[in-house]
Amino acid sequence: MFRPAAREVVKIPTRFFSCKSEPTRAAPAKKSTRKELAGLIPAFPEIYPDFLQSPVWNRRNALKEELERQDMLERRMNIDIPEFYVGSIVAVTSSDRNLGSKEHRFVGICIRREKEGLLHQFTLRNTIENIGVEVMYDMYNPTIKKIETLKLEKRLDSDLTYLVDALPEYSTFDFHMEPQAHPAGTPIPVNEVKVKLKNPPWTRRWEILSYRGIEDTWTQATPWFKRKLHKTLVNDYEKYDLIANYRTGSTKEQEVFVQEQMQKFEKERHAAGLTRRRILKSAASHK
Amino acid sequence: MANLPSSSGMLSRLLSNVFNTSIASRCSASGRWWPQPEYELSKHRTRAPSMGIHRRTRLNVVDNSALGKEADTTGKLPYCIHVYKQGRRAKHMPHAELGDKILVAIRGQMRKAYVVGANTHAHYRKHGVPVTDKNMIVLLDEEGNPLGNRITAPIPTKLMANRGSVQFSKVLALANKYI
Repeated sequence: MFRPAAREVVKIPTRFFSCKSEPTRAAPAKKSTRKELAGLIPAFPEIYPDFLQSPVWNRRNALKEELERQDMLERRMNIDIPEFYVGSIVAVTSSDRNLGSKEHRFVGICIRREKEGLLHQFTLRNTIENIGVEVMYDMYNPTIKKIETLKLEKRLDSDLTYLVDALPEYSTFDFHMEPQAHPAGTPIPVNEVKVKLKNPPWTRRWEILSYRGIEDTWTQATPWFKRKLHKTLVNDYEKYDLIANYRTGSTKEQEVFVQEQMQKFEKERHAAGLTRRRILKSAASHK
Repeated sequence: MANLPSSSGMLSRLLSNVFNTSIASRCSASGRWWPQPEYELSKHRTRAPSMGIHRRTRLNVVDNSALGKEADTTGKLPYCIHVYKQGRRAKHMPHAELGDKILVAIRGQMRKAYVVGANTHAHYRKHGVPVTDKNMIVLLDEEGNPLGNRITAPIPTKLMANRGSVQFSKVLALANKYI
């Protein structure tokens, strides 16, 4: 099931009541947790979306997640899967038996990351000789030899599918691009570019969908779609749905639990002496 | 000839109005590449990528054959009319994917073609198989040999798996760039 873009939930201010006769029922004072110091990452869902639980509540299964997690961590010990976001430029080298060199390299901008667990996929887009090409890769597929992040950055949206209808210059990246190192400890840069679309017709109704990275869709949209707007079902209220956010999203407890599992796994492997590779890391925090 | 200045004047004014409308050069959903006047612009979006190539799917010819070039310049793209494949769709012809042979209607004639680039829907994509924005074909003649002698667009390396087939290997020989 394809995971919808992370819900933007409107934060409704809650009041903490403190009652003089029952001081124990007062709101707990915010204390800095010891967990923060233990090497856990606050931005865990963004950096490791594959370790999150299924957005479908009834498909969440602790045993399945545990088994998949073990396999995922094994794979991460064998190959370096770097941190990248939607909007980063990534190069993937996979093995291809049809080629003489047996290696196939593709460079592109990551336009989406979907699914949880071992099925986690990401799609790269590039324009080759004026033809837009998208390649979907399963992150944990063993035929992938190397994943490199050539440029680590984020965009205004978590899903750049609109690049299909955008002008080709927004999807063109040099195959022989030099990797740009991200200085450790600095926050991930957000590229606030607003993409210009080609003339309509488009593959989706961009003028209705709320994507922040597209420039001025409304003036370009054709009159027929504008007249149709009042009949279109636009579900703006979904961002206020707290229950849906709870059902599809992840809790802090779950994130902490998964990170502790990862740390335990790392420790065991380092103790065994075969590898010193670190799995749980964040480019935005100090080493 | 008896002149009817009022009616001919009106007619010519009407005609000039028609041709003076702002003609925006648009990639039209009706498949025509020459500029379309705004009031005739199709209200339908370009067809969202479907599960595969089927009857009536318009395709772009990427070899340098004369037939392909004519189809492209006149704006009437070739469209699929048959898929040579054993499929499992109930009462329907199977969809054509990357590497399948199809029959296309082009410039009033029927020609066989191989699909060298498919716009597969996101839910039907496979790991490592490139998906292009346009559906691309290479035309074949009556004997099954490619019509052109060069393929202008880059084609996926997955097609090299069909090296065994005599017909397809002739098409692969023409390709010079692989994605």
